[in-house]
This record gives sequence, structure tokens and C-alpha cells, in this order.
Amino acid sequence: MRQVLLKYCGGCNPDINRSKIITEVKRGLPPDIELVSKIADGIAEVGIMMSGCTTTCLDREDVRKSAQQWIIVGGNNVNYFPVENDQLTDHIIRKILACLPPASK
Amino acid sequence: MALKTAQEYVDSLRKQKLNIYMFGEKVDNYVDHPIIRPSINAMAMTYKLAEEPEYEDLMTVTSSLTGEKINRFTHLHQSTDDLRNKVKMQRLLGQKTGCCFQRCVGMDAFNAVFSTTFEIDTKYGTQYHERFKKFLIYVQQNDLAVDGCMTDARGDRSKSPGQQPDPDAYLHVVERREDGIVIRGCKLHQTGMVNSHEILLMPNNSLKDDEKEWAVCCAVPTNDPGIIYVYGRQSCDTRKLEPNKIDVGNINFGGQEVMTIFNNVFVPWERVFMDGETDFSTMLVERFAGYHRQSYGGCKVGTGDTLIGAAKAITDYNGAAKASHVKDKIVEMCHLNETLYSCGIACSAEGRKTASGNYMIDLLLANVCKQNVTRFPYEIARIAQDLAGGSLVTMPSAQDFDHPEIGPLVKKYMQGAGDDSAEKRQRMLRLIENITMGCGAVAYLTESMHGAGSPQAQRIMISRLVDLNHRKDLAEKLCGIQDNTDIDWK
Repeated sequence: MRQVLLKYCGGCNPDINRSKIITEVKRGLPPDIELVSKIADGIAEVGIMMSGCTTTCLDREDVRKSAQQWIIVGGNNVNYFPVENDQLTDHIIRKILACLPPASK
Repeated sequence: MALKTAQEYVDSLRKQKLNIYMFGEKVDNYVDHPIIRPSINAMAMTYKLAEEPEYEDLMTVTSSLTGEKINRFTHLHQSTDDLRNKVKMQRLLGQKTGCCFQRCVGMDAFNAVFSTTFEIDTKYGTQYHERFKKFLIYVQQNDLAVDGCMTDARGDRSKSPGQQPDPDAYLHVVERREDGIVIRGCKLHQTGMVNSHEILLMPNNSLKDDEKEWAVCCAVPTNDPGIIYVYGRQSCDTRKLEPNKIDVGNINFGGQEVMTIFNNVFVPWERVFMDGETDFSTMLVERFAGYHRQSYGGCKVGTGDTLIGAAKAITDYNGAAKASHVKDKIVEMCHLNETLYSCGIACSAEGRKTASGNYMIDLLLANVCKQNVTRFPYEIARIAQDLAGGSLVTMPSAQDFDHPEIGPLVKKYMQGAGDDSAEKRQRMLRLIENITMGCGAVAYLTESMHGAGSPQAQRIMISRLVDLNHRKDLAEKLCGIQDNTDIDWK
């Protein structure tokens, strides 16, 4: 199973429905990829910062060190580039697949 | 040389030959013209404070591009701290000048163009961002004043640029050459234009796919021979031509707005930062407007501080300061002014990084900030006029105060509380007049209304940026229309 670390911001006043988007992302990923809130040993290969608005509070040093690469969602921005709301889910899925190494056979 | 002194700044303007017209005549020595000079003094203060040890921590910063010490007005914001310090610097300058000091618009344009060109290049593989970085390094290293230039003449407001009977109603590219482009059009209301060294032009609004010739962002030196400047009139402006300056109110400082006509101006490619990318016009306009809406949470607050001070002073001179309603009205002025400041700080604190690395304000809160700015200065000004009393508009002229025969009588009957109160009242009433209905009202009131976009522009942004369905869900969960899945305890 390939694991992707998932971190949420505090969710004070979100512009996007974070949990709904993550549910859709999970549904769109291959079955061997799971989103987890903790990695058992060490640092994750890939993580998603799921911030509800463009302030992107989660993008902090203490969070960054828990994964090697991050997909940074801040409202309708992904990695600080604007993305149309209705394309957010697909965009995040594509980013995850691009970041993760291929599944071992 | 990364920092100019105020004197070096003024001297640098003397070297510029500009085609400036005022009252139907060409102005030769614009630097010493009594109507223009106060606006140069206000801009000079942005240089002067950077020289002073007690202000340099706010006024200067290390360049993210060169590592050199630069004036914050040429800086790319690198953090939310930078965004907050920008607002604090603007409040300080408003306090020191009591007017618009005119250098913010360039700073706001730099930051908007920097991030937008990065995103254009990412999509189209163009070279705008590197070109813009080179231009900005030139600006930083020479500590230049730059006019961020957006508002077009706009002709028939119901028509987009491409639909106008006269295509020049919006500045546009009229010719593309091997070595650059030629632009034509007119930018209105240009604050701090003839006291700047460079102009950074941006499109006025969102553009359609077929409006590529209007999607242009570029830099032009102010002294380009193809540019004609027509200096805008301000209420009571000719008082500055009178020998006694007391009736001007704000003795040394003022703002300027200039109609700027680009009459087939050539721009080499290295100074072109957008040419035809209509799909990025909205991003550039919104980012620039957002930064500038934040700015008003600093500069107008600083001017507000001076008006509150003037209101306090005039009530002292009138002998009315101890009345409870007077104290309460001054508290109300402070409350309104600090509310504006709160908005400026809030949109900065909630700012974010852009893909290019510089920081942008929270757009929603910046629009809320500016929406309040379209209202609160008017209320602060109303209260100031209330406290000032009718002499604000009926007081004799400075020449009458100085007249050998009637002067002593005028002073005798203008006296308030205290032996020296006649001249103090004269000066302070003129300052309140300046800010609330004279030259200073251009910036403190009407610019608060229309600068960085008229009130409806902010309301459109607020309606776009607030997620009403999220708020509806909150309400429906509270009253039981929707299941509240948060509650999983017994």
C-alpha cells in the first residue's frame, strides 16, 4: 500500500469543503494509495496540506518536515497556483500520481 | 547606490524634461512650480524617512533580488510581516504629510506584476518574469519612484475596450516591431505621475480573447517625448500661488493627479511584461487592486490621524475641549480610523505566498478594507467639520489677517481661548478645510471613494469571494434542517 500523508488546517473559515474534496480524491485514486493522518515510521514521501483558504496556514516548517514533497492546497490554490473550483479534485489527484513512485509489481 | 536622499530625489527630477501642461500653458520648471511642488515634497518624504535612524527599520528592507538595502517602496513582500510593515509605513507617511504621498501605487504594481508574469511564463513559456526582475532591480538600485498606471479614459462605459468606437479609449498596442511595441491611449487620474521616474502600465480590466492589443503591461520612462501630461485641478489649488501660504492649510505637502496621454510611445521588448495574454488580465488587475485596497488601510489612516489631531487642537483653541459631546465625537473619529487600520492589518496578516514567492494580501479582507475606506473618512471629516464650527468656511483670508488697518480687528474677533489663539485657529481651520474640502480632500475623500476602484468594484469582489453556501449550511445545521454530523457524543 502506498501512503500519502494528509494534514488539515484548523478550518476556521474555509473557502472550500475540505473533507468533501478529500472524499472525492480518495474515490479517484487507485486502490493501492491511501491517505493517512500519520506515517508509522519516519517521513512520508508525499503529503497533502489541506488548507481551507488561500492564507494556507498549514505551510509551516513544523508541518513541512513530516514529508519529502507536498501538495499544498490553500482554498482554490494548489501549490500557490489558482485552480478552478470544479477542477480541484482532479488536479490534486494528478499531483499525487505525479509525486508518488510507481506501484511495485 | 541603493538609496537616494530626499535632496538627490528632488535633484533627479530637475534633470527630467517633461511635457506638462497646466491652465492651458506648458510648464517649464515643474519642480519649483508652487502648485506642483507640494506633491514633490510629499514623495520626497518617502526618501527622507528612509535616511533617518528612527524610521529606517520600517522604511528600508533587504532586497529579495539583490541582497542590498532598499527603500520598502521598491520591495517585493516576502512574508506577512512585510505586508503588515507596508501598512505601518503608509500610516507613518500619512501622518508626516497629511496627504497622499503617491509612491504606493508603484509598489503595489511591482508586486502584482511580479507574481502575474511568473504565472504567465509558467503557462506560455514567455520571458516576461525575467524581464520584469531586471527592470525591478534597476528600480531598486537607483531608488526610483514609479507610477503604477492602470485607469484608462474608458469612453462609453457600457462597452468593453474592443467595442469602443475609438480604440484609444483604452491604451493599446498599435504596432509590433522587431525591437518592441508602440502604444497609444490615455491614463486618467494618475497620482504621483510627474514626480516619478518611471511608469509601469497595466491593463484597466478583464479582457476578452479578441482584445489582445489591450492586454499590455510595460514600463516607460516618465521623460519619454511621446507622453503629454495635463495636470489635474484641485479644489482651492490657486491658493498655492498666493504669497501667504496659511490659507493653503497643509503648508508643505499635497498630492497630484495627472491626465497622461501616450501618443504613439515606443517600448522596447525588454520593457514589455505582457503582450496579448488576455487570460491573465483579470489576475493582474485583481492583484494590483487588492494590494492598493490594502494600502488605503494605512495611508488614509495616517491622514485620519492628522485630522483627528486637528479636531482636538481646534476644540482646545475654541475652549470647547472639555465638553463631553466633543470628547465623544473625537472618540468616534478614533474608532472609525482604527477600524480602517484593523482592516489593513488583517488583510496583511492573512496574506499568502504566491507561486512566484512574493506575498499577497487576503483579497476578501482587502476589499472589505477599501469598502470601509469609501465611507469612514467621510464620517471622520463630517465630525471634524462639526467640531471646527462655522468659521471653517467663513473666516477672512490671510491677507485680511495681515492687513495693517483691519488685521488687528480680525485677530481680536478671531481669538478663542488663549492670547495666541487667533493665528492658531486660523492655521488649524485652514488645515481642516484643506483635508475635508480643499486640495487634501482630493486624496482623503474622493480618492477614498474611487481610488483603487469605486465602491461597487469591492462589492462585486466581496460577493465573489464569500462562500454563501457554506454559511447557509452552517445555519441549516444549527436549526436542524441538515443533520449535524459533528455531534457524535451522547
